[in-house]
Amino acid sequence: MSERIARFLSKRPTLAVAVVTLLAVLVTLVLLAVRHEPAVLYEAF
Amino acid sequence: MSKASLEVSVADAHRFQVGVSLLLLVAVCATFALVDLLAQDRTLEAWFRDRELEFREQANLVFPNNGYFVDFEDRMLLDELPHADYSHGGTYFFGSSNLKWGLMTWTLPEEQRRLVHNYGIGATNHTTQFQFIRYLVDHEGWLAAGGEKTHAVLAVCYRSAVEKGDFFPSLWTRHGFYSYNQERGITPRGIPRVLRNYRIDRERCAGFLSLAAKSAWWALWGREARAAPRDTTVYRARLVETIESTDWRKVMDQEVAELGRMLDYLRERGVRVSVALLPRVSWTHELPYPARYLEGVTRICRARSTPLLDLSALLPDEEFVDSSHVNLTGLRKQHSALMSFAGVPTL
Repeated sequence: MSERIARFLSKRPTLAVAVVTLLAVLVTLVLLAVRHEPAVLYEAF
Repeated sequence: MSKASLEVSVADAHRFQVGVSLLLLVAVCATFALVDLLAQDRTLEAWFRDRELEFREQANLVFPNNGYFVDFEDRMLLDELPHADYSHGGTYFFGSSNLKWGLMTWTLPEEQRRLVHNYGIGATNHTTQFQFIRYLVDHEGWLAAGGEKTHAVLAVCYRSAVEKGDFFPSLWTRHGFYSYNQERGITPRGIPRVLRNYRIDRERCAGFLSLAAKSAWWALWGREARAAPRDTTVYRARLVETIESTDWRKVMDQEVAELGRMLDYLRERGVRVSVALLPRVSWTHELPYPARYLEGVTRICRARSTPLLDLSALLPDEEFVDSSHVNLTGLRKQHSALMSFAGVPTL
């Protein structure tokens, strides 16, 4: 597996870096979307 | 595969690793910065608000006016209060949930928006509303322009005289920016500005992404959504049970007395004060609580020559989503009535 990754990296380094960067952006967006939910929210009735 | 076949020297590999690490760091920081920039754009916020208004109007729901925050109160505490300018006075509405969801301050012209603020906080009683006003005076410089340039409109309802007010302490302590004590009220904690701003920006960014996702959902699948009609019988039974579980006459009399002390506190500082009784559904008119409350509020207002406007029968039942919270049709009428009563402040 690591050999295949190494081969891919040596052949398509730009694409590999782009994929990793995109993943980093997506993970950042997910982490940003996670909200600190308050313990008590107003309940209308 | 041998190391030589990779044709990459150790030095090249290190440079590559450092380069990729820096790129990832830049990607993370740039994503945060871009989302933060978009979340601070008021034009974009207004666009999202319009999408939410459209959805909530057709679904017959209240419009919560949360902005990008988890609720109305968070938006007020984290976004509106820090940007408020008290140097010119203005008109400030205080009350509970039926006020916070009962004004359309965002529709006011720019110069009025600076002077008119909706400071409603859900599930408050008069004791906690008074604590909020004292906090504004003691820590926010609310009366910087002088009391005579400030108009406080207390938008009240009998529910504020029987409310336990449990939500209020948790609201103020939820982000660690304030401490709360029943006797001392609200006290700001010395959180460094950088940390405070970071936490607020994180909340805003999370809300921005959440509202963007919700707006997409409303556009794609929200056309048919409609809130189920509430069962008035069950609703009324729950309300009566909640109020009757306490010695409500005693509690109400104490809260009405606190409202009187709040009026005195404001008048001593030269603040112009008005009181408005907010609309409620017709079946609540048969209950004993609103009548006793009206009698008490009328008495304390008359004793202080404070203007009192009774809007309790302003709206038909179909313009409520429950016993006191209005839908968009009711919201427009309630906003119009309250603004007419308060008058238009000018710089």
